[in-house]
Amino acid sequence: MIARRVVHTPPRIGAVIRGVLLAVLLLYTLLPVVWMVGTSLKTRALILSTTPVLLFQPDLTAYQQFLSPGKSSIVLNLVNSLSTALASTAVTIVLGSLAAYGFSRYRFPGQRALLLLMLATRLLPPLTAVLPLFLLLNSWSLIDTRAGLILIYTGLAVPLATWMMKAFIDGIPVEYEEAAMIDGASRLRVLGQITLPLAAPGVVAVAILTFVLAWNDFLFAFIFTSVNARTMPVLLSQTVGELDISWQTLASLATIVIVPPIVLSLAGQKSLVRGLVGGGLK
Amino acid sequence: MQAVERARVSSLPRVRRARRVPLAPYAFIAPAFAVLAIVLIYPMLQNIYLSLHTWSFATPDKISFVGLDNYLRLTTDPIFSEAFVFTMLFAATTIAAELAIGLGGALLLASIGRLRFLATSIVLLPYMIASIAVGLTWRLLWTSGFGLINYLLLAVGIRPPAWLADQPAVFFAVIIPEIWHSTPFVTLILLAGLLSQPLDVYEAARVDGANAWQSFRSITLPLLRPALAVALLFETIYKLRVFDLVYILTNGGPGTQTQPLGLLVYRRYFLYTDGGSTAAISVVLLVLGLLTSVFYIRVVYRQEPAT
Repeated sequence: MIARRVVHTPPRIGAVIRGVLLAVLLLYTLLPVVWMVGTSLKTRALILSTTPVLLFQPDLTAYQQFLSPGKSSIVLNLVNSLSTALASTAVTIVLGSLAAYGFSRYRFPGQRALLLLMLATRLLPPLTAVLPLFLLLNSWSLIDTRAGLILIYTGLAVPLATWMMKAFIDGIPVEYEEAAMIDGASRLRVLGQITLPLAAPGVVAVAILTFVLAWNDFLFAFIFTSVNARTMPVLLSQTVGELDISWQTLASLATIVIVPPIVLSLAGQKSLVRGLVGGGLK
Repeated sequence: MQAVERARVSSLPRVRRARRVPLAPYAFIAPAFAVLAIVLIYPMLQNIYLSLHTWSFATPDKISFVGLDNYLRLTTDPIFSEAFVFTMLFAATTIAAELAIGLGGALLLASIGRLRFLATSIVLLPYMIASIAVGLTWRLLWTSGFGLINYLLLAVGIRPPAWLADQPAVFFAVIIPEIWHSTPFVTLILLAGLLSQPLDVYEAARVDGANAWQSFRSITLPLLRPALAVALLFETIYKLRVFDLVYILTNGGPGTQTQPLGLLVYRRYFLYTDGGSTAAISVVLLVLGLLTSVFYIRVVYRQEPAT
């Protein structure tokens, strides 16, 4: 969709001006990220230099510290972030596909209201759920556990997943499924073996967005974890407050938080753009 | 994009060819709603209930009904007013800037040929980054002494303020990172809107002698209205939630001058004892979100073609 057509907006604007504007836009977009990643590779003296240093010998000390055992190890936090993001992505895809299939392939009383309820839960500020949810998960002993976070992220992502998957499944002709069901396949098998493979771009988009939502979350991880299930964004925010912390350490932590979503979004651009435009999400 | 929105909505009332099994659809949607009920629906309703009572986080069981007292007290609460005004100002300024920059970016991206896909995916990047990391990145850029922004300002002879401490500089230090972070979403929605516009209208306008500005004013903008509405309303909803970015940039400071409602709710819930009035604040947020959502849903439904 993005790649196909050229809209002829003001035709008199020369290619040169367009090129300059594009360069400015890309510079504005990339400079902060590049600066942060660059800082993670600079020694203290280079960071504190009053004239910005652009070319230098990369210094990997901070990254090495993170992975070696000891006080500055971030392995636990990294594992927490990765496992909660991956698990909530998997659960969200299963629940979202089931719900989307139900909404797409059946007509039933209350359907419209339930779809709108789902949309509403996506649009309302999740902060308003924080305290009662905290008391609830506390009574279930799920505070500071990965299971608690996975439950929360699944809840936050499922409405978007359902809406996006429904849009994709709506676009798949029902005849494929009918043919399989005449051959005796069950609804669940049809969903898993015929519908979902055909809706693969939707699954990819939902997977990327859910992973990024969980990986990037600060608010819930901040409130619902303390030590055991603490994720990377929380670690990052708490490290900022430590005395004597170097910008190199902070920038390296930030880089580790920044990189996976960027890699994922570049790898899955096509599905992602379709998903974002169709699902209008966060 | 309109096409996608329309497909989503208009597929609701159409009867699908499905077996008449009354319980099956509910079984398909039940697991998703079970999780939603636990994580969002029950807590939000419970929050409304709590806002009508006096209680505290330390002793959530000691609770007594006080009707609308908590809401009435908010009207004379200076910290609440300050946070409310800040949140509204933050939303208004960031959204205005994002729509302007986003529209410019979308027009630019729509006008380039070969490089468009690559450029679009680069422009989208800030949107994928965790807001906590965005906040820290800009904290580094705003730093005095060795910060990049101050260096650039000094290079052109401007004496920079203490970005994270002085008014009004701190307001800009908070909104600029948010604009940088969220504009890509607006750009993408508007770009999709631009690319779905019919080309023959522009052709006809050119034949009739319209110049570039005229065809932008009377063709591009009107056709872009639904996309602009969607971007505007989604951005409003996101701005009401602002928390991470401000938390790491200023922590609401200096004093409480950059404290959004979200940060106020967090602080009061977990650091103070007045649970009832805090619940009331978050219900105010809920109502603002609900009003925006209803507006959004109505705009999307209005796009539905008369069938």
